[in-house]
Amino acid sequence: MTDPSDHGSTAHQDDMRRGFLFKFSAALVGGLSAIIPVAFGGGFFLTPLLKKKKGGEDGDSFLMVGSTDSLTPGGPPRAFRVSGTKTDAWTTYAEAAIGSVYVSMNEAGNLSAFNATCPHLGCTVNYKADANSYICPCHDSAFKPDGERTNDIPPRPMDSLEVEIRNNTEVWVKFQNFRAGTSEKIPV
Amino acid sequence: MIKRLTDWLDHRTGYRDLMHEALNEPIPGGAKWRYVWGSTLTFTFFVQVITGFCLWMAYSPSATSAWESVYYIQYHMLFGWVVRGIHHFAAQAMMILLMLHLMQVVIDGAYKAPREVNFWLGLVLMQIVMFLGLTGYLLPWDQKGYYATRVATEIMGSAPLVGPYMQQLMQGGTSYGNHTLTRFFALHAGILPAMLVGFLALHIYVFRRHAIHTHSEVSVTSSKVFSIACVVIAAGIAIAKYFKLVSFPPAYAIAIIFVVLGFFAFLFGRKGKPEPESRFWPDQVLKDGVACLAVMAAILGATMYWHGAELTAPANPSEAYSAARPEWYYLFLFKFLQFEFVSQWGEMTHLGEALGAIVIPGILFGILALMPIIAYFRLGHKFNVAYLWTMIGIAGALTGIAYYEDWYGDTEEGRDFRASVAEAHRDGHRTVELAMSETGIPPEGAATLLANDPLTQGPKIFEQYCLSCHQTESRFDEFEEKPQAPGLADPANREEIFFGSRAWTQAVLTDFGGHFSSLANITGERAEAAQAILEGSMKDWSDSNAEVLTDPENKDDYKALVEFLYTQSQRPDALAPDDAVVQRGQEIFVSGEMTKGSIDACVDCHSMHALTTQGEGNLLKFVLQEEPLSEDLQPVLTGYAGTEWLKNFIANPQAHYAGEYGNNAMPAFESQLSEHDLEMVSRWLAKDYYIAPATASHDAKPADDAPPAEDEAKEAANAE
Ligand code: FES
Repeated sequence: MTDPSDHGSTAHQDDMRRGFLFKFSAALVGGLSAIIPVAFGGGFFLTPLLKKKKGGEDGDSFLMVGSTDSLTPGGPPRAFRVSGTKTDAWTTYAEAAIGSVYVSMNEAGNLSAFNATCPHLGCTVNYKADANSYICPCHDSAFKPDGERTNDIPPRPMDSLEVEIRNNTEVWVKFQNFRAGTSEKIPV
Repeated sequence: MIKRLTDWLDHRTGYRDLMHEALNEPIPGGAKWRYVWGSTLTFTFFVQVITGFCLWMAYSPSATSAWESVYYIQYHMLFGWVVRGIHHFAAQAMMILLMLHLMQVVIDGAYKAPREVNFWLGLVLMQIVMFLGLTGYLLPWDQKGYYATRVATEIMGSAPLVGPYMQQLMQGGTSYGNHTLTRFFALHAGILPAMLVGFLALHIYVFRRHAIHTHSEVSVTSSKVFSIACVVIAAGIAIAKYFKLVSFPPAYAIAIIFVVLGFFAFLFGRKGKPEPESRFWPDQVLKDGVACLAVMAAILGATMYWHGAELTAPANPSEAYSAARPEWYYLFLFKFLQFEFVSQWGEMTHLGEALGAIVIPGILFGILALMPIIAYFRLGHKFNVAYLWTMIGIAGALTGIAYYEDWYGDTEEGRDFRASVAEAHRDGHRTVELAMSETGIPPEGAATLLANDPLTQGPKIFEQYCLSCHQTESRFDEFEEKPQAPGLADPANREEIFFGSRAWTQAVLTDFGGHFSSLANITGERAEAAQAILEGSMKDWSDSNAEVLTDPENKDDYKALVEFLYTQSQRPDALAPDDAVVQRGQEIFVSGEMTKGSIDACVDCHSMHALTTQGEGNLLKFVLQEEPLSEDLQPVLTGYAGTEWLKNFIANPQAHYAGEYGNNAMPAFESQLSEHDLEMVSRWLAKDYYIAPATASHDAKPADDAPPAEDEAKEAANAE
C-alpha cells in the first residue's frame, strides 16, 4: 500500500469499474423509460393483427340478394349486388354494398352462386355472354359458367357460395369473401 | 468483427466524433439533479411523438368521425386507452416541466448574457407547447374540448384589428366544423411539432455553445427569501381565516398553494455542493435517465389511475355545456377574465375582452422576455427572480381559486358547474353505451345517437313541458304554482319512472282521490273537467272496491291485476303476457271475481285489447290478442302506459283516452311537441329505450373512473 504507483492503479481500476457501472445504469434507465411508450405504441399499431374480429354470429348470415324471376332455367348467370349491415371500424352502415354475386339457375331449377371477386387478385369478373364464360378484365383470368378455370392465371376456380330459395322466389346467399391469390379457398 | 464494421461506418460518417461531441460535454461543478428539466422535456416530447404517431394512425378529423374514431381508439383498440392516456397526461407533464425548467433557468441566472438568445428560444418553445395543448384539446370533438376551444378562438377574435381574421383562419370559416378540425389537426400534428423540432434543435445547439451555467449565489439568497415569504403569507392567510378576519372562501386552498410554492423555492434555493467537473455521459445522463423514468412513471400512473383520458359526449352546438373550462394551465387566465374590474378596464380602454385576454398577458409575458436585458442593470436579476415568483404566486392563487370555486364552492355557479360536468360524464357514458349496442354508430355520427335516445332527450322535454304541472316532490319549492297533476317522474333521476309503475297503478286503484288530489289546484277553464274527475265514476269505483282489493286474502289477486296492467306497457321488467300471474290478472280484469268477494269488472268501462305471445325463441314477440277483451269504451287501456298509448295520450288526451263522455283535464300537446319530441318523451316514460347489459370484460366497458374530485361533484350534484 505504500507504493504510490500501486495505489494509483487501484484507484484507476475503481474509476473504470465505477465508470462502467455508471454507463450501464445510465443506458439501462434511459432505455427503460423510452421503451414504455414504444411498447404500448407497438401494441396499438399491431391492433389489426392482434385483435380478433367479432360478429357473424347473428342469424344464419344469409342475405337476400334478389328474385328468381330474373333468372331463366339454363340461362345466363345474373349479377346481384349484395348489401347488408357493415361495420367499418367505428361506423355501422345499416345498408351498405358489401359485394356482388353471380347467380345462375340450371335446367332443373337449382341455383348456384359465385362471389364475383376474382380469386386471382381481387378484381370483379365480368360475364361475357358471347363467350359464355367469366372473364376478368384485369389479367384475363377466365372461368367456365360452372366456375372452373379455363386458363392458368387464377390459382383456383371461382368461389362458390351457398345459395337458397326462400318464400318461393327470394334468392338468399351466404355471402363470404376469400383470400385472393391462393390455391385454397380461405375465408377472410 | 464489430470493430471493423464500426470503423467502416465511422470512416464514412464520422459518427464517433459526433457522439463524442454530443456526449462528452463537460459539466463544471458536477452533474446535478437541477439540470434534468431540459432533458425530461425532450424526453416527454419524444413520448408525444411516439404516441402521437400511433393516434394519428387511428384518428379521423371530421365533424362526424373525430369523436367516433377517438371512441374507437379508447374502447376497441389494443392499448388504445393507454396510448391516448399517455398522450394526454404527457401533455400535462410537459407544462409542469416547462414551468420547472423556466424557474431553474431564471433563478440560477442561466438566462443572463451571453445566453439571452437561448432564453428567447426557450420562450418560443414554451409558446409552441402551449399552442399544441390548445389545438390538441379540440381534436376528440367532445363537448368539453369543443366548448373550451371555442372560448379560446373567441378570445383570439377579440384581438384588435386582425382578431376576426385570425379567428376565421384558425377555424377555417366563420363557424366550427370539418375545416376547424382539419386545420387544428394539421397544426397539432404537423406544423407545430415541426416548429418545435426546429426550435428545439436551435435551443440545444445554442445551449451547447455556451455550456451549462452554474447557479449563482444571488439566486440562492433570493429564493430563500421568497421561500420564507411564501410560508409567512400562507401562515398569515390561514390565521386570518381561522380567526374569521377574512371571509374569502378558498383561503385555505391559497395558503396551501403558497406552502407548496415555498417548498419549491426552498428546493431551488439550496446551494449545491461544489463537485469536481464531470461529463455529460454518463454522469448527467444517469440523472437525466432517472428523472425521465420518474416522469414516465408519473404519466403512466396518472393514466392508470384515471383510466386514460376522458371522452365526454360528442360535440353538439345545440346542446349547451355550462362546464366549459380551458385546460388547467390556462385556468388562471380564465379566472382573471372573470374579474369585473378586468372587464371595466377593458371598456375604459376600448379594448374590450382583448385587454384581459391578450394585452395584459402580453405585457406580462413581454417583461419575462425582457429579463436578460433587465439583468444588465444592478439588481436586475433580483427583480427578475422576484417577478417570476410573484407571477407564479398570482397564477397559482388564481388557479387555486378557480379550481376551488368550481369543485367545492357552495355557490350557484359552482353547483351548476358540477352538475354540468356530471351531465357531460353521464352523456358521454350513455353515448358509449349506445355506440356499443347492436346498432353501432350510424354514418351521421355519434351525436345522433344521443339526439335519438329517449333516456337522454325525454327528461329534457319533460322538464320543459310537463314538470310545471306534474311536479316532482323533491322540486315543489322551485315552482310558484302548486302542482296540478300527480308527479310522474323526476328528470334528475331519469331511470326511475313513477308513472305507470306498479305503485302508480295501485294508487289509482285503491286511492284514486288521494292520488289525483293535486288536480284540485287546477283553475280556469280546465277546472270543471278536473272537478269531474275527482268526483267521477273511477273515484267511486276506487272508493267502493278498495276494501276488497286490499283484503289480505286477495293479496295475490290484487298483485295479479296490477301485473296484468303492467304487462300491457311492455316495460323491460314486465312479465310476459302468458305468465300465469298475468293470466290470472286478466281473468279478474274481465270478471271482477276475486278469491274473496268481487269487484266491479274493469271491462265494463274500459276498452282493452290485451297482449299475447307469438312465436318462440328468437322470434318471440308480443302481439295483440285476436279478440279484444272489450272495445269501443273509454278510457282506453290497451297498451296502458306503453309507448304507443303514451304517444296518443300526450298528443291528445281527450280524443284518445277520455273520449266523448269522459273527462280529462290535461291539455293536448300535439301542436306543441314535434313528432320526434313526442316520441322521445313517450318512450322515456314507457321505459322504452336501450338498456345496456351489465358487462364484465375490461375494454368493452366505458370508463367511468372519473377523477375523484369529479366523483364527489357528481354526488354533490345528485344531492342537489
Ligand atoms: S385479378 Fe382477375 S385476373 Fe388478376
